[in-house]
Amino acid sequence: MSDEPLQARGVPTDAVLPVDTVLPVDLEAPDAVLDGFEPADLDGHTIEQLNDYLDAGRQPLDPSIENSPGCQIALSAMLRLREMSRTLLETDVLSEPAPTDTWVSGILNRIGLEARAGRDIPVQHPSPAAKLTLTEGAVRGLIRAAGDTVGGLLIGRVRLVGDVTLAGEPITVLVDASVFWGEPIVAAAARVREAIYAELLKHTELTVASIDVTVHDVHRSRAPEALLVRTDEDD
Amino acid sequence: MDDLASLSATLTAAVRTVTGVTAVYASAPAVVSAASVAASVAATVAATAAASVVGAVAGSVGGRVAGSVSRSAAVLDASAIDVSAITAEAVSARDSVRVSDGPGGLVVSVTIGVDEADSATEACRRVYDVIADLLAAAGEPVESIAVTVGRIG
Repeated sequence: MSDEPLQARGVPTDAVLPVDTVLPVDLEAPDAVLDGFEPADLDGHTIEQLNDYLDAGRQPLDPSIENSPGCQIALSAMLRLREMSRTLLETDVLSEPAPTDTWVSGILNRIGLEARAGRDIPVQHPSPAAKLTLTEGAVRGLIRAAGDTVGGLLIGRVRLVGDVTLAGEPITVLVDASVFWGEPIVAAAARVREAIYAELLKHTELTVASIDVTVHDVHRSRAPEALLVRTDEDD
Repeated sequence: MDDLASLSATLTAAVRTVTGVTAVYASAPAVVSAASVAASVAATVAATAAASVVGAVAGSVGGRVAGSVSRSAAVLDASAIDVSAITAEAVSARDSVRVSDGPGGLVVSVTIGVDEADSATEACRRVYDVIADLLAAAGEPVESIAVTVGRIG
């Protein structure tokens, strides 16, 4: 799959793409390894175990999951993904093949990887005794949440490029996303970019050089207009 | 040790009251389940048994091995241990500010969750200030205080 920007591939980025323009994101690409990856950062749990835990309604309560920041970040992201997947599936029954298990499991795997603590991002304090940090996982979770909740997109992958462990070092935020059918891509990307920047400005001291949003995929969403069109066609 | 545990409890309670803090996590949490405790106990039994042998051969190692050997009798009786009790205790102990003695004073670390509505960096600094103020008031020398934000939102 090409990593070229949509425009470079002749895809109009200032208009709604036709529904058959599906460019599946390769979420399990070889370069999907994250900086600061620590296998123990989900406190010994796998994303499959967390998925089962959600299926069971978080019962019986597992303290090792509920008291783990990494697990909590992953669970929040998985709940948002479930809600959006449900919406997509409801519409896809009417309009197009359902998202494949690979598509969903790819995002789940990314959530699991990104929720891990990763690198330490410094927070300044005048005292020499102070060692204040944000985990990279917390910041990736923040970015994913900002992107997921802005509407019109589903975040597939989040990366922080640059040495986040050094205060003042410029970093680039790379976000891969899917856009829901009917959303103008440029406008949706701009909304996500603004939301992410606002969150980073509020919660971190990172020097953000750029936030690059790459749209790899288009999915039909449960837009009332789409359903109305479909009803008309049926008639 | 009791003093450190008591101090940890006091600091944990104080950190929980800091504006913006939603959770206090262990700095180095680990999965604690009946299975993992049982596995840990089994591994300890094996390691201690091995240490006993090494201690017998290399007696010059002295007190450290002797300590392991003296504990081995109790540890070897792992089947008598109430694993569920260990699990509950270990999980409770995770949820706290960690305090230990360092060469230059106390070494404190804590991982927190922060409310999305608050600034994570500001909450992080507030937690540091609360811990530092409490330790200063208690006249405790401090080597370092590490505050990590593990989750936002």
